[in-house]
Parts: sequence; C-alpha cells; structure tokens
Amino acid sequence: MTPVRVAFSKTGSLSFISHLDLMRTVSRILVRADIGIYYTEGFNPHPKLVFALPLSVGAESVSELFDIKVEGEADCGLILSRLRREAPPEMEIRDVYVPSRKFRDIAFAEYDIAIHHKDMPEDGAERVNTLTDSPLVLTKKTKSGEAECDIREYIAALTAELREGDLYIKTRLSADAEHYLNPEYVVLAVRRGLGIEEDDIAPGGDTYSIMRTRILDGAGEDFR
Amino acid sequence: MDSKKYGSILRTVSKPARYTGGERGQVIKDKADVLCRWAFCFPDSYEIGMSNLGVRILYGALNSEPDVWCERVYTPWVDMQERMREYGIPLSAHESGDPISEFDIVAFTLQYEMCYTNVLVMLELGGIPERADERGEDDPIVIGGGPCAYNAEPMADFFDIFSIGEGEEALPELARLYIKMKADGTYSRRAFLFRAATELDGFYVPSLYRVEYGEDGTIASFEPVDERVPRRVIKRVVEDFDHAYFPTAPVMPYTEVVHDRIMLEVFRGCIRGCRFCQAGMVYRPVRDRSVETLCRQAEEMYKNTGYDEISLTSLAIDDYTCVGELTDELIKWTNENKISLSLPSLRADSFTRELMAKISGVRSSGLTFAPEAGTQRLRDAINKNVREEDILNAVHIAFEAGKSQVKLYFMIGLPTETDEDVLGIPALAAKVIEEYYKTEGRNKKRPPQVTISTACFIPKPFTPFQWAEQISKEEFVRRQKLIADNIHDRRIKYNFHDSEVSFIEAVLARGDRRLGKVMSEMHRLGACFDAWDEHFSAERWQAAFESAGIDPDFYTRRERAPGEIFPWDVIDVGVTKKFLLSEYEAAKASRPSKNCREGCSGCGALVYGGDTLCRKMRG
Repeated sequence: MTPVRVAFSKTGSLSFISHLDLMRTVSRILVRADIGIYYTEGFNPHPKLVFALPLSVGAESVSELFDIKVEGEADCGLILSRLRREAPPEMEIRDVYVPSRKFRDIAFAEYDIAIHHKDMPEDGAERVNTLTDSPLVLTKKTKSGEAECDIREYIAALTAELREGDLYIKTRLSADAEHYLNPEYVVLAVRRGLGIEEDDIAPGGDTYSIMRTRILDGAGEDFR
Repeated sequence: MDSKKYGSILRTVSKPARYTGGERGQVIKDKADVLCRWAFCFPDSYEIGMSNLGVRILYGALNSEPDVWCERVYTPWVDMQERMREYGIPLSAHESGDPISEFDIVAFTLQYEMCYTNVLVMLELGGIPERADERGEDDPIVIGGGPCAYNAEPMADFFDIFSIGEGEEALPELARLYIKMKADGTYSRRAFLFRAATELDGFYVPSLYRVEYGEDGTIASFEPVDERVPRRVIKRVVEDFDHAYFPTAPVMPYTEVVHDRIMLEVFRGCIRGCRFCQAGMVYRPVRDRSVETLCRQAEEMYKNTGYDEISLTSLAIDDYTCVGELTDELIKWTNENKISLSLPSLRADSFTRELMAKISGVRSSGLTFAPEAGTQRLRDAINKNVREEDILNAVHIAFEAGKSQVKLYFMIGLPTETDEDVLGIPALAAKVIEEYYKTEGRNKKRPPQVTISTACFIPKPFTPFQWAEQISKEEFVRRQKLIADNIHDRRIKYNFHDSEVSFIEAVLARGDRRLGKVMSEMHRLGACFDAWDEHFSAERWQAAFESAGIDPDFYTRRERAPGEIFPWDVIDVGVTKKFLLSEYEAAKASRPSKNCREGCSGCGALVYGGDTLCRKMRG
C-alpha cells in the first residue's frame, strides 16, 4: 500500500459545493478512475480520503491537496491521467506524487482577495495596509461555540492595492490545525474597516472573490 | 452555466450548489444546431428532482435527437425565490442558464399532487403566463406528464397539453412534429396542439374538450369540441422494454440528493393488482428486461458514475422471474467493488434466505415490508395477498441474518376497514417482536425494534377504489390514536402521515377542472413546496377553497355511483372501468383475485400486446 497525494484546483461553479459534497465527488472520481484505491475497513467501506485544509463555500483555490492510499506500488503518471479523465471540468488535477510530509506540517495558506464595492474609498488600499496596526476583534466560530477574537494573531501578512476602483488583497493566514483562519474573516474585517459593509448583492452589484493560491510550511516554503 | 450571473446572491442562499449546474454528464449543445429546446422542469427541489429515474430517462431520450436540446430546471428553494423576485432574475435552465421563457417547450413532470403549487411558482418565476389561454405565439408550449397526468384536471387551466403514459417514445415524436411545423411554416400554437392531439397517440389537449356539470355537481358531459379530436386518449407504452432506451451515463450531482445511486429498472408494471394502487393498474401490461441487458446496464453505469449502491427498482422486485439469476450475476462483481445491492420493494411472501444473503453483502441496512393492512380479512379485501405467516417468516429470515430492525408499512382508512382491522396493526407488530425472541441465531446484543408507519388511504383514479369515499380527517386521527393507545411496548415505534395533507391529496387526485380556481388562488396566497411539512398550510388550502367557492368534501366524502362520469374517463389506460368496478365489488366481499401470473383476469391491458406478460400468457 502506498500513500499518494493529489494537487488540484477547484474553481468556478465548483467553488459553491461544500466540503462534504467535495468528498463525495472525489470518492466517485477515485472509483471511476479504477486505480486500486484503498478502502476504509468497517461497516460502511469507502475510499480512504483526507483533505489538507477546509475551504469555505464560494471560495476558489488553485492549491488544494488530498491524500489517498493505493494498493501496491503507485504509478503516479497513470493515476494523474486517470484522474484527469474522470474529473469534472472545473476541477483540474495538477499533480500526483508520493508525499514525504504530513499535513500537520502545514502552517500557512495564501490568498488573493478581490473586493468590488460601489463606495470603495480612494484611500482604501492605504487603510487596509495599516489595518493590522490596531486590534481586529471579530466574533469567530470556534470548536466550543463563538468567541470574541483579535484575528491579527492569525494574519501573517496583508497587503492591498487599488486598481480601477477595486481592491486587490494578498494575504498570508495561519492554517495549522489549531490556528486556522477562514479568509472570509479577512473580507469581513476589511469591509468593516473601510465602512463598506452594506451589501448590494444584485448581479453586477457589490461582490468579492477569494482564491487560495498557495499552501506553505512553517518556513514559508511551498508545502508538498 | 456561468455562476457569475447570480452575482453575490449565491453566497446568501442555502446550498448554492443546487443552482450552479456544471455537473458531469450534463448535455451541452450548440444552439446553432438545435431546432427544438426543452426546459424539463421538476416541480420540487434539486435534491428531489435529481433523484427521479423518469426524468433521467426522458432527458437522455430527448437529447438523443441531435436537433433537440433538453435541459433541467428545478424549483428554487424559498430563499432563492425571494432573491430572484427581489432582483428580477428569471427562472433559467441549468445547462445554458437561459430563461425558460425563451424555450420552445416547457415540460413539467407531475409526480405527486402536492407539487402542483410549485408548477405555478415556476411559471411565474419563468415569466410565462399562468393560464394556457393567456399565452401568445411567442410563449413556450407548456406540457405536463408523469403519474399525475392520468388525472391532472385540477391543472388543466395551466397546461397546453399532457403526455399520457410512458414518454420516452412520445416526447421525441412531439419534438419532431414541432420541428416539422416550424420548418414548413404551418406552426401556430393552435395548429400544433390540434395536430398533436389528432395525429399522435398519447397526447391530451384539455382545451379541445368541453366539460358540463349537472345540478348535483357531477360531470354531465365531457365532449371533444371537434369531431376529429379523439373521444378518449390512449396512454403510451413502450412495447419492447428490453431494448428501450435507458441512460447509463446520468448527470452526477455534486451535492447530496435523495436517491444517489445506480437505479436499474428491472421491469415495468406489476402482476399483483392491489386495489388501492394506481401504479399497479396504469403501468400494465407487465414488461421485463433480460438479465443480460440489466447486467450490461449495471456495469456501464458503475463505470460512468462510481456509485457504491445498486438499487433494483420496480413495483415488486421479487416478482421478477429471474431475480435469483440477476442477483447472482451482480454479486459476482459488486461485493469485491464494495457496492451494496438494495431491493427496495420486497414482498413478504416471496422473501427468501438466498435473497437476504445477497443484499447483506455490503453495508446493508434495515428491512421494510408493507403488509398494508392489519388483518387477513382486510388484506384480502385490498387484494394484497400477503399472509401473516409470510410476514413472520420474512422477519424470521431477517432476524436470523442478524437484523434487529424491521419497518412495517400500513394504510389506514382503507374501504371496509373496521376497528378490528386497525387493532390488527399493533397486534402484528407485537407478533414480530415475539418472532424475534423465537429466532435461533438472532443478534442477542441488540433489542429488536419494529417501526410501524401508517399512511392515510387516498382513493386514486384508475383503481378499483376510484369510487370509494375517503374517511374524514377526524376519523383518521381517531384511528391513529387507536393504534398509538394499543402499543404497550417501547420496542415498537409508531409514525403516521398527517391526515390534513392526505385530505388535500385526495381532493386533487380525483379533482376536476373547477379546482383550477383553487390552484390559482393558492398561488396568489403564496403557496409553494406543499409536499414539505414546514411549508404546507391547511389553513391556506381552506382559504383557497372558500374563495373559489369549492366544497372539498365533494371530492372526498362521498362514494361515487357506478355510472358517474369521471374527469379522467377521457384517458384510456387499457384497464377497463368494467374490470375496476368488478374488483371494487370483490373488495366489498373481501374476496381476493388472481395475479397476472396465476391467470388472466381480463383487465383490458392485453390490448397493448407487444413483448408483455399478457402475450406470454396467451402464448
């Protein structure tokens, strides 16, 4: 039995499926790909499948990972081509390899966030760049309910620029098992900080997008 | 479809994956090659609609025509409806994202009466005039089909045309007629509907019939408006079922849907003839598929889907003559691939140890049997033909195999039911518990659990009980309480259906065109998702009946005279009214009748010939 890691992207309408839906979708891809997948033991056998990080509904990613196990040796080239054959169009299989590290070595994730708002302030970028100078207290969901929390301790980097009236943010957030920050909180903090919370959700109205671009280890290197 | 068309709205609604499309297996065509566009609407949520085998078949059959493009549409959930109304977003099809008002044909499958209010919501959200007589030349043709189309008279005002019977051959024919008339310039709504009704089999155009009512409220006459229009519309059946189209690469939903598994359609029709069952009558004659065809379809579907469950769907799966051979062939490869087999319609009288062993290979769950009634007398009256010893034998086999949970389905309010019959229900459950402790080799770690469910009997068109009265809501409640009060064992659980809902279903099931006013009024009052407990409102229905000046009891609380003209007499399902009446008489005498395999009862379905059990019986 060999562990195998799969790197993939999840974009477009696929970004609206939940984590559970993704699990189900990937399980079926694995079955169709016919790659000698290892099943869990027990009453309800299903392909053994572990995802690196959660991704909130509506967010896109070009840097997702899941681990599986296959019977015997792993032919990564074959697995890659089989998975590509079976994946839906908005799920691009980017790489398949035998991993040398565990998901618990993941420390950070990086995101590109774009915010469009009809009342975007002209100094929006400057204000976001100094946002972390003072406390950013939000109500954050935790394992034991909700708690007031200064999310600055989760933000390793946050820079913004304004292009054609839209705000483009690059941010690095902590993503280890104990300190995972959902990038939605950053969107919330930025909107609140700029006083552009009011939402016009109509098509063509105010909107934002989140794209996970990289997953990093504690040294700030790409996690593989 | 491009999910950006909804802007940020998708972030504000529950389960947005219901609206984004893009699933594997969806059919995308180039509009330039397409001459007839169908919007196939399922008037309930995505999760329910995506589970429907009939829709999968028709979607595939229509898309097999190169110049026809059939797309899917579901009822948006209430939060999404609110947003669509607020921002003026029209209801659109999943594949292209185009508004349904731009389609040539908008089809609705009518699977149950309680989805009718959703049809009107979808027409409104789609910007299509509600009433058929308000639609202009540029509006789509609105067609209905499915089991409720056998009597969709309460919806007659809103549909241009109904497809009666099985649609996989009929709907492509209708599309071809549409394309032909558009091409030769003879198309107009009127001309198209007239030609469909007079030249094709199985199409009913309500506006081509005039209905008059007598002083007592019953139908005095139901006549075609033109002598070229057939007096009765003959339902369509697929004669060569073994070779009929069956989709083996279905659309794969991303999000969880109700029936997310391989569904093999083993046979159509039923040999049994239970007297309450509409499906058992309207799907006659019985036609089956060969083991070879079914095994090929199962393997293809597994390769195309990756599903981990195969469900053998049919009205009573163990009536399939080759059920042993079929399951033997399937488990040759299903067990090793961790695929479970499920047989959702087991009959207690033909359940065997061999079948039990085959369905408990991989992740098997509890077992369900449907005795339908609590005493032998009443089971004979409804022609269920299952004996108490059959039921106890079946649960014995299940217990022996380590099961400890059994579900038993019943109906209350069946014609001729007495309190003795009602009390037979908890008594039977108690005997099942006793049987558990009599079973050697039972699972001693767990106590047994028997769940009784009772549905409220709804008299349906084209059944021997179409003449019968439905008991009052109060009487349903009394009988439910009688059962609950006579369960003295915590290992027996009792669930029952809401009699208020069953009452409305009964009104609509045997309703006539005058109920169209009630449906319009329901829509005006905001009705939607009536099949969902949390959205059903008995008060709203009452208000709609009152404002339309309709007494709902007229449809439920009276036994019809043998000669009464029914709204559905315009439909010919093969099975004759004379046969149904003789079966009703037999029910009153608690006399069962033969099943199709034991001998022909002369129901009338024989006229369909083809590759059917009827033909095999005649040799």
